[in-house]
Amino acid sequence: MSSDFVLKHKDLERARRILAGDRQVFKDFFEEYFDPLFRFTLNRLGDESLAKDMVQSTFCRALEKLDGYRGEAALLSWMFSICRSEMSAHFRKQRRYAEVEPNQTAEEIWAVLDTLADDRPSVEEAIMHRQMKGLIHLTLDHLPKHYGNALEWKYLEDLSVAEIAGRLGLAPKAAESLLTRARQAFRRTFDQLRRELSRPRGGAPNALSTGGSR
Amino acid sequence: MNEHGEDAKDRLLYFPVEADDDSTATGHSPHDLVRSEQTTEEMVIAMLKHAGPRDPSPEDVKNHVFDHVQGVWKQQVERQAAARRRWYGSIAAALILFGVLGWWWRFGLSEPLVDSTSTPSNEIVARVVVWDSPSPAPFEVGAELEVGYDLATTNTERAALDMAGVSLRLDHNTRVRLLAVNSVELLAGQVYIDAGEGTEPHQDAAKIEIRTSFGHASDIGTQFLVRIEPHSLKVQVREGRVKVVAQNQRHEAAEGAQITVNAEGQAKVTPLTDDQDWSWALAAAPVFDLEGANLAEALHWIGRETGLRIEYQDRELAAEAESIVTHGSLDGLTPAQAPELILATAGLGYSIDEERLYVHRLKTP
Repeated sequence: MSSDFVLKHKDLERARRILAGDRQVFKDFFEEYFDPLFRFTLNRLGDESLAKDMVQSTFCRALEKLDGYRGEAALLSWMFSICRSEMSAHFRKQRRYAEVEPNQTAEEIWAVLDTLADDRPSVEEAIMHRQMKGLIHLTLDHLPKHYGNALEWKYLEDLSVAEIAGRLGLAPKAAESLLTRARQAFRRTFDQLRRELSRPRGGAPNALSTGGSR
Repeated sequence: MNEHGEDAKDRLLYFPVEADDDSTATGHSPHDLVRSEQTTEEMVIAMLKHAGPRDPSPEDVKNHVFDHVQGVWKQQVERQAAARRRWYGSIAAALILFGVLGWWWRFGLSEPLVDSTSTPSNEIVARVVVWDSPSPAPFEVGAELEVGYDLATTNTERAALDMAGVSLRLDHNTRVRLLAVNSVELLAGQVYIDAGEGTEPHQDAAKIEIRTSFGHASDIGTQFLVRIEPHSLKVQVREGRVKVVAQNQRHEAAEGAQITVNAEGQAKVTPLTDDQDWSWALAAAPVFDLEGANLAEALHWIGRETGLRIEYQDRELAAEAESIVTHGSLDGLTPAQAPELILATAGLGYSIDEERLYVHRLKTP
């Protein structure tokens, strides 16, 4: 049985239980998706109050549509797509079209990133830095929870493999192998998200635009 | 710094270019290509260090959104449940018309333990008496729950429901579905049932039935606990008797015993161990309404909840206890903590040995 099939089945079952009124599943669903969605919207909008409203309307819209969810995408990706639609609608309403630069390539973006080592980055560079940070966090949020956590523990908290194994209840060898898989998944997901978010979406600002005119 | 003398933040922070990457159209500088050969691990490190740890969202914002979204969800569930009820109602009407349902229920399935009198689909079958939660509780005390309702406690919550006089208590991480006023499906965790007193031991009419995938347990006037474990069902009897039906076989256990039923439906009756812990059920016990009750009633409640036998110093004191009217509230106290307050207020003393709460007059100095 492929892992995709298992994930799809789990997500469908989760959707079914939420609609059936299972409070625990609903709470878990909210707990799991709130932080990633909030980080995503806050990074893009830069305004906590607006980000809160956006996440709230994302959840409400998702609940409305949940009985139509057929597992075409992972539930998390499905939630993110709703969130992006909500943001697009918001920008349309606010007439805050950011200028999408169709020719802006990843190289140009990364070239700006390269300059971030400078002591005093320009405003544009600072914005780019924020967006990059958001994209990296978004990537972590898109990974299975234990993958994202393991990567943070290892590379940001400097935990040893043995300590990570202890936290995950695994043997050290299994933790080592999980870290390898997590790194590979990070790489794949990052590239995928970067491509997906760089694509303009229905006149709304793309993920790498600033949300304001230049 | 790595072995090449570079600092992570000086390196290009993205992965080796893949063939299907849009960016290949514009080509890369040699510098980029050198960088693209760095191992995935080095780049993951560089990127994570660049971004830093993910920030948790502010708790107050999260709680506010949760409250709002939960309200929307509850309304939606209610709407769906109403639609389901209409649908089930139509189906049931059709089945009843042909007399199929009755025959099937009576002869086609295992022995029904409880007289599940037909419950109208929107009938209130339970009332929330306690919802012990560190965060805002999902139900207020007194909330009425309809048939078909699913409810669950988290790992910090406990609850008590009143179902037509039967006290059903849910421990942490427990999920139940209310099937009827006298029938509950236990989906996970453990529940404690106090079916109340007054049912004669010889009577076979149960007040409540707990259905599980392993088998069904019902009371014969008793206090008992039903727990689902990964591969078995455990029923532990604190008082009275319990019967369990699994795979069409009936088993019974009396006070101080437990029945374990495995996935094949095989049952084993064993004595309860001395360290059997009922304390969680006490923690979720509904609070006795002290105001206007008498001391004997209050002590009787304590005895029932704690499993202690109440004994008075003499008959006169027992009679006196019935005439002492109590006032105030026991809010925040468990039944085990209540004697201290109640008896001190009445000017009486008490002692507890293994199974007895002994009430006595205080010696005058």
